[in-house]
Amino acid sequence: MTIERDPTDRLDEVISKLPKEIMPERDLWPSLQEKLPSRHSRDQRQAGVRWAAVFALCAVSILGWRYTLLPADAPSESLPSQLDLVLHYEQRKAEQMAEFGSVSASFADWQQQLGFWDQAVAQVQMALDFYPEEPTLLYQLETLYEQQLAYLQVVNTADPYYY
Amino acid sequence: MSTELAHAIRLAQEGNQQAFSLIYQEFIARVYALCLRLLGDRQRAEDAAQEVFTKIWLQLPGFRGDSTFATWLHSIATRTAIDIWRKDKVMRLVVSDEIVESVAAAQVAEARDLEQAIQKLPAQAKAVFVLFAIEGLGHQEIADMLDIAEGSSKAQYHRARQLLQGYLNDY
Repeated sequence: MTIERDPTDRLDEVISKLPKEIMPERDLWPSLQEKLPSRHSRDQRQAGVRWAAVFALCAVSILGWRYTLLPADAPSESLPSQLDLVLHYEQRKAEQMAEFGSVSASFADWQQQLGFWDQAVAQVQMALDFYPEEPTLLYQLETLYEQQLAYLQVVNTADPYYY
Repeated sequence: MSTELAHAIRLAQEGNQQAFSLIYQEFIARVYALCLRLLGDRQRAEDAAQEVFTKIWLQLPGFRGDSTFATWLHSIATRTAIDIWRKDKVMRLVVSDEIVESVAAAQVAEARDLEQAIQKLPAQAKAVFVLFAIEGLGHQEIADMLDIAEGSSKAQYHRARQLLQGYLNDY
């Protein structure tokens, strides 16, 4: 005589035989490692703050040097406009970069992006050397700085652990 | 938790990828099993497992040891797999047999049949069954993850069991 097993017991018995672990058929680590975003350590963040301070100091020094070497007959009201703009925005940039913590992987190239704006700013400043009072150039300078600050704000506020 | 794993976690928190590879080796089979059962497709399960470990890598500096590391990791794995399953269930209409091929070698016939039957369950019943019966989560936790009522989770589990019993009787 055979005893029929309760179907519920049979199901529970089979469930208990299911493995908790299954290895993938291929090693996923090599491709995973390539995708792992870089993480900034505390030392790297501190280095970023130090670099921001150095950038600000350089900007102030260069502008001060240019101011003292300008010809005496240069229009007196034109220089402060450019100088004020640059000093104002470089200081705000330095303050914003000093607040940087971990940066989201989506913005891993933020320094390169910042470099593009720096190049554009340098070109406008070169043009301003020839036309110091040109309102369009001053407006362009201000716009570039505003864009750069807006970008820094986005980088700084993006959640570093999600992307 | 072994001393070696604790050391690897500390190093990985500081950004050491080699140490993270040890964590990966320790937990990949558990994470992959969950992804494969929920998604029912080898390629999707591989992608999902990689996404899980990418999230773990990014969130690792925030791990403070309030829960055990395995619990913390498993929680991220489950939530990530559920997110992918949620998007996936809308797109997928075909049941894949790949999961059965993947586990068949290591299993007895009945378990293999059950594995196949699980993949035939309706999407939500399958998710509830995998999370409750295999992963050991509670109904309240499952309900929170799937945005359903706790009672619905219990009902789906009951329904899954009935369907599975029917499938197994047919084999």
